[in-house]
Amino acid sequence: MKLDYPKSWIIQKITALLFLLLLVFTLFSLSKVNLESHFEIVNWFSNFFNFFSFSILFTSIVIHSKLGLNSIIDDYIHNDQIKKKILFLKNTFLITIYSLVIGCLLHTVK
Amino acid sequence: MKKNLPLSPHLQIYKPQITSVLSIAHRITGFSLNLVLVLTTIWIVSISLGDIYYQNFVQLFQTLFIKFVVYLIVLAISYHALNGIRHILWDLGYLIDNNSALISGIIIIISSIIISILISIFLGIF
Repeated sequence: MKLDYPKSWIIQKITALLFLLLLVFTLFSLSKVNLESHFEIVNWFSNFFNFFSFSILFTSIVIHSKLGLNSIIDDYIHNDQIKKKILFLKNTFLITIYSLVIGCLLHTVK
Repeated sequence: MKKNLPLSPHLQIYKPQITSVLSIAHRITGFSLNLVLVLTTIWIVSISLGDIYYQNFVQLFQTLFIKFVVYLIVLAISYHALNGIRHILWDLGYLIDNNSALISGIIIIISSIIISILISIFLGIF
């Protein structure tokens, strides 16, 4: 299993910084919203800028998580067969979660 | 050749030091924060399912236990973010000497506790 370590390192740092900035923005933006109100939450996501920034935030979290998990798996699991299976399970988990979130967000704001 | 390489890192060999403990904690918090991905997914799915499902989700977060779990998540995010910035500074060649690594480690522990309490108050968790 050959990983491009320098490329992964750069992408992981970029997604970390993006994720941190967007998280702070999202927390401040959501602090003005009553989180117990379904109407207000849907309204917040209906704003294109909020929808777009949240999608970028979630994408950066998923990419950051994928690369972080890759490096943990690479460091601690040395059997190639087991590593392949765990990488497959991890990718399936992340793709499922990402598809669900983006699909549900699009369904919410349509 | 690769099969002969030792497992990394040698957790059982080294005496715990603040740098190694914080580095291990960085990995543990990073791995555990995947729970946030699951919770965010449940949150978004409940929003898309409608008001009744969303209110059930909101009710779940009124319990003291879940509030405590959310506080731990905020603490883990604060620690992981601050320690991540420290790792970037290390990669750029700053704070590498023993004394700076020790002091920055202590600062990160204290700052992450303070920041997590402030964020929890800001979010209304407490």
